[in-house]
Amino acid sequence: MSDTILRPAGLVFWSAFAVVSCVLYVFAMEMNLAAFTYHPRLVEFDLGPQPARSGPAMYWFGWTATSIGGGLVGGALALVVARGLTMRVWLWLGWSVPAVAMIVACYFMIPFFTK
Amino acid sequence: MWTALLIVHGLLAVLLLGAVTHQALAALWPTRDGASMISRFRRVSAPVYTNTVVIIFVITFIIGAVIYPAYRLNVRTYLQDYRMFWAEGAFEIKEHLAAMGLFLLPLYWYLWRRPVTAAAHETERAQRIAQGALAGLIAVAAWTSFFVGHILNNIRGLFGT
Repeated sequence: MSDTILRPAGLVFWSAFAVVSCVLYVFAMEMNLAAFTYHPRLVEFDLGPQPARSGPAMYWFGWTATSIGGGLVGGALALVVARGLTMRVWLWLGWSVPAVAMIVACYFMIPFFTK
Repeated sequence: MWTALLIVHGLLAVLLLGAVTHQALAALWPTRDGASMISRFRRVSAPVYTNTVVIIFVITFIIGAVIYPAYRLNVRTYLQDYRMFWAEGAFEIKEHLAAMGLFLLPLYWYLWRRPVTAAAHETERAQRIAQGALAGLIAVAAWTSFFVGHILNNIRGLFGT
């Protein structure tokens, strides 16, 4: 099979990765599910979400790591349990769910503009 | 060094905007005729931008992540002190959309480097829509990040007074 043909396994894995990582990111930022915390003034990392020590604590790196890790696991799981879905379904899920996740993430930022 | 990185970050963002906007418009609003500037803009071969978009997005993202702590220490506290919460919120949106744009890149790259096959008409149509939608979402993330970054930089600049 040519490498340029759309293969179900690649489509399933990367669609599931896009869906899971984007949805997980929304949960990670709302529930602070950071894989690690960065303390920029100290230039130190802590595992998991930790309170600020000296200066501010940065969680965005940790949220991104959590989402990428979860996306990879989600992609692998999808290959096992959800491969029966048609390619068309994966093609739709791969962009529509992340689009909704982007809108939800922006919606959660409304309080910054109404203070 | 931080200022130089910020300038490179901005210049790469301009390149990214050009590439991904060309691709998104060519995919979502294609045309084969017309001699106007907009028609020519929409008539480009969309797939040729794929690798460029991926490479520039990743490099721009990495540089942004490197200079992010400087923003957190020097700029965000300034915004909070002056109660410019809208600017703080705008940056939050930038970081969220940039992260999600990164998560879309593998699927975007996977779909765009494979030509649409005519094996099944419905699948072909869904693939074309997915290609355009992913390019569009990445373009939205890039444009939002660019505007917010410029607005914040104009408020104070990373190391202004």
